[in-house]
Amino acid sequence: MGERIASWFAIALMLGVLGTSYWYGQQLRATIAGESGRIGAVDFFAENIALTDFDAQGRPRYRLFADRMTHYGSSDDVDMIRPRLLSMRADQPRVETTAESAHAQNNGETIQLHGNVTLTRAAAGRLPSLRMYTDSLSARPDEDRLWTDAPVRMESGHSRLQAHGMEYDNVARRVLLRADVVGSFPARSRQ
Amino acid sequence: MTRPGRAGVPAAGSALLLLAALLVARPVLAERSDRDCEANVTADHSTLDDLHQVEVLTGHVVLTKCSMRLTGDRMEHRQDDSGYQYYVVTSEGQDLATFHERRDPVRADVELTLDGVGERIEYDDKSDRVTLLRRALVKRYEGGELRDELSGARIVYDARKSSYDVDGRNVDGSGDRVHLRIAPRNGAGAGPTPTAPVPELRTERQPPGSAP
Repeated sequence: MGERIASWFAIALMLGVLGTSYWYGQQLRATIAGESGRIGAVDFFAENIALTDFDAQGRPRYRLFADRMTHYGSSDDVDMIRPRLLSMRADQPRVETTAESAHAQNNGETIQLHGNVTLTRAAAGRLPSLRMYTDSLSARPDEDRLWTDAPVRMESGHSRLQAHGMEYDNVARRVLLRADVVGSFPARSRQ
Repeated sequence: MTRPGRAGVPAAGSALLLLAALLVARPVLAERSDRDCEANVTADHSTLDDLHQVEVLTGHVVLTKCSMRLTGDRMEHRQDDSGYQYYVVTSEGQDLATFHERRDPVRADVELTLDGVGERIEYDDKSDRVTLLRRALVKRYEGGELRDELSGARIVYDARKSSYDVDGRNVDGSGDRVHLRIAPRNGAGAGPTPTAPVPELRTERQPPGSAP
């Protein structure tokens, strides 16, 4: 009789341990999912960051600054607060892009910038500066290419153009405004 | 055959036919305010060649600069270092590029307008010259009434000299006729008393093969 009671006690104890383990596992999974959303758990964050990307010859291609960077381990995605992306190709004019926030995917292959996005191509020699303003912008820093489907305002020298959608290729040195272009070219006397 | 107010000028084969219609006396200029106006533009798409600073606008392009208006399928825009603007408007198929401008009046209360079409229209802000190419046609109106009409392969309108150069031959050698319809310049029955001398029209025809 005593042996039977001991066996039932052992079985109950085992079931209790199993149940507790299962419950704990479920709780842990729910917590991780809540923290990370669809891009995985946060594995580290950093403040006032400055990252520099180099090409195969060791020359800097671009620099990325942000007030705060949050990295997600399993997906390698990055969230940034107040990012500043600086194109540094030696053979191209410097292009700087700023925004309120950004999300980088695939180890920075694509960066989505949001909120008061400003793109500035610096003046170079006789070339006037080029500025663009929009609310969201995608960038492929490796290819020096940026684009958006959102409304965009472009200022090139004294010219002003607005449109819906834009593609900027800093290697080909070409800006395409996709649709609904409206703008103005100033009279000479105003310059 | 020539009849009052109308001239048909046949050309001779492939020889150059150049006919200059020169408005002497008081020049009739583009509205003075036009020159100081900023140009407004609308289009479907735009591509900026950032290296050469050439803007190409395509699809239903409309450019307005006060009273001046240019339309076409495609417009190339550039600006020189001094800030002068250059526009080249083209159209393909049935539709032609168009040009419209109001001129400073030579008579009180009489509006002068100029309308032109062509497959290609070049507007030079620096020289104030408009060049209409291929199937070119220019009409000058006074108070809404058609006064002069010119057609040819190439018409150059010089707004400063208020003169037209009309060429019947295209760059590729095709085309051979220039047509002019010119209203009398005596002003009889042409509205109120002029506040300035009515422009006098002189035409010169260069014989084929002769030196310019």
